[in-house]
Amino acid sequence: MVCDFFHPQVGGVEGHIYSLSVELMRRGHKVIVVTHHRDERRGIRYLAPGLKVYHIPYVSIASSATLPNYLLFLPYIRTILIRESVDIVHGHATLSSMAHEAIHHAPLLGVRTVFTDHSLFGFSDAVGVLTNKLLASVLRNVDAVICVSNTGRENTSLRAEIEAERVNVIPNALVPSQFQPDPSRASKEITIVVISRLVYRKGIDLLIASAPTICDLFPEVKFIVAGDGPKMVDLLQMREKYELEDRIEFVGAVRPTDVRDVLTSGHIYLSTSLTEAFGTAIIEAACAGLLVVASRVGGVPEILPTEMIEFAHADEDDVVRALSTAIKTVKAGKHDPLKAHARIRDMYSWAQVAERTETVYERVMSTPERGEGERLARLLGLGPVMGLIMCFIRGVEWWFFVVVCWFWPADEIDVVPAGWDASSFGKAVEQEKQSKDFSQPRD
Amino acid sequence: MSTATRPAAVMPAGSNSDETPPPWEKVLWRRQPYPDNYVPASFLAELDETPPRPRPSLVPLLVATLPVSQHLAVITLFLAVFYAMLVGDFGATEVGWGCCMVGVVAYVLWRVGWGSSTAATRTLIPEASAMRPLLLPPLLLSLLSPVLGTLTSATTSDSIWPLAGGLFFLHLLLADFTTGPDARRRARLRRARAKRRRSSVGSVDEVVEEKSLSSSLSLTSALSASVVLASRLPSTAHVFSLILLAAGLFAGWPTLAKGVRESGRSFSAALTISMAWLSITLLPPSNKPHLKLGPLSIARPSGATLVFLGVLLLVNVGGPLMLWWGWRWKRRLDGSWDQAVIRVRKRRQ
Repeated sequence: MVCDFFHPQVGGVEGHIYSLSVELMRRGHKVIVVTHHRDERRGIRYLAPGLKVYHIPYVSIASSATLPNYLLFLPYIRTILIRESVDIVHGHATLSSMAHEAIHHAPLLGVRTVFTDHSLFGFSDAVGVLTNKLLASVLRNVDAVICVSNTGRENTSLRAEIEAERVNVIPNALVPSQFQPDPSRASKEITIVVISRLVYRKGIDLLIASAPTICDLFPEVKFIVAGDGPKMVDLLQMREKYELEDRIEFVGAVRPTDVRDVLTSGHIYLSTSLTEAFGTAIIEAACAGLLVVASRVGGVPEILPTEMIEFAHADEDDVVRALSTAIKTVKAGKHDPLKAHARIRDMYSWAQVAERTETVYERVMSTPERGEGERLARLLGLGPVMGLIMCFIRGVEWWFFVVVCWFWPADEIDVVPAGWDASSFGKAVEQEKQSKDFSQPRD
Repeated sequence: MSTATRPAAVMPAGSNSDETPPPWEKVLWRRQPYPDNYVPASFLAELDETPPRPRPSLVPLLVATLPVSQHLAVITLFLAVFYAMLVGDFGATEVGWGCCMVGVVAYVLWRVGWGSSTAATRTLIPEASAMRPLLLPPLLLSLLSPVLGTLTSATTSDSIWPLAGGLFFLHLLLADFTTGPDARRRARLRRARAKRRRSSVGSVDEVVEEKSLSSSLSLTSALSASVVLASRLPSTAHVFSLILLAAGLFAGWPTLAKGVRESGRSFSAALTISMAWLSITLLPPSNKPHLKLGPLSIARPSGATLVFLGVLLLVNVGGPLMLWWGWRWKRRLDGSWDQAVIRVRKRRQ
């Protein structure tokens, strides 16, 4: 697993990599994570059930992403790949240049490549235009791509101009035991919960526009808003303007461990996000027994059966309509939190994700490897300008690889002995369970 | 439909071939008896590939580039006069008086109005007298010109030429080429009018037409370039004339040219041709013998003229043709992955 985004930072991609790695280890694979260093966290660390993490001495720029430099990662990744006798490099996230470079370098050592795309991008904005070209150059020679939803797959195959057959759809998952519903905690009045970063992309303007109407229509409804961000000011202004201080409660940013407590204090979860590749927060809320009202964007329509979710368009009136329907459903007692939890538990699990990912790995390993000439030819197909640039980079990379091989011969690198299997994983889990709850990653 | 058209190879291994699997659905919450890389028949069905706007015809594109050519011609005119002053073909007096004459004529033309572009505007501040903007800048300039002339005189000419070139390029890059009020300004005016309707005070009709930051920067860089060049001239009188010319060309002329452009395409074309013609006549002539074509004797174009004509051709013909040709790759891809657009009702106050 190679990605810029990993613990101790918290987020969707980070959690995905961690959970998938743990499940793959449970299935008897050897998994290591490569990421860049963070302050005090340098060198090699181990996360809870024995997950080995390499922190490369790279300086990150904005939001924990590193600058793409194409070549300097090669000495690091080569040493790691040889030391750990790696068979497959699995890069994550479009904006992680580390993942991109690992996928460029891995074929030099005969290592196969898989890439997971976690996000959706448009085609007309500047970010889309720039990253789509970079992504296309990376995915030209990748062996398999994994997307988290069918919409994401359509988006990725268009953005990176790759054959749809090479793209797999494996949804995200969650740990259902962490989102146990607790109907006794919910208050008598109906509570609508919003947990989100308070930014434009999460559609907070829709919340600001529709909350006063809902409070007006249903005197027994309360709002709990968790999260922080630039839109906080607008929300506070709205609350003051309509004198809703006792109806709308702000609890600020919550830690991942406290999300469940916030969720179970409500009845309805509202997600007004304007773009969402998968919507893990939505299934978490549904798992905690909440009825979900969500905007119909990206991969959201695919993740839950229609009776568990109420869709709204990104329209103030439609959000009000959907919320009203949901409030009436909850009032009539037609929504059973425990039943909803039981259904979600069967729908999503990391074990299933790991099993499906394993199938992808097996398929990748069974296909013949591309030759260097074929790779260059495919890169050239990117276009008369980008293709040539990538071919030049590839050529320099190859010579750099020769120099690195001469400087640090492969036989001088010590190989980590293979002593890790499912049984030792079980032992580690037992040990860990005695001391701490193992679901929380820590050193 | 999907089950009928798909070959059996994509079916998952080990599935019973006798019973047909249920049709594929675009959902994730249910495991479906298809492999993860199964490509359904409905793949990309929601892709909304709207055809781009039709290709604009060539003539409006050509007309749209005319302001750039006019600007190029003005810069060339300035450089030609500067060169002539530097080598001694033009004296300070000639240029200074020329500037004054043309400036007064242009000012009168602007005050009277070109076409119908001038609307009577009432402002709170009393109108300045007609003579003030005519007299004040030259007086100020005559005071300042000794300073301006020595400002960069210590710098070597090797540094001055690229610096002036860079500043002129910046000027061209940031210049305001709009013809007529553009959409953003129209929207701002509409908003201002609506605001005025609502509020009871401030009934004075003021048309807000502020200069954009980029056009101010453009003017500043052009004036800086002329100041930098002025330090190469022999006397303070030369400096005065050159800066006066620069002020007229880069501050005064664009407003006038805009009025001309707004009067119509033919005016715009005529202005471009006359400006280009004027610039070429002022450029240093070639010292090779004239071409004899029967009774006609045509001057050979000098290097500077050729460069100028080449740039004009590139901007005015090459640019539009490139856009015209590149239009074939223009396409829009919309789909369900796009960021949703919020629709919020306007609140009643």
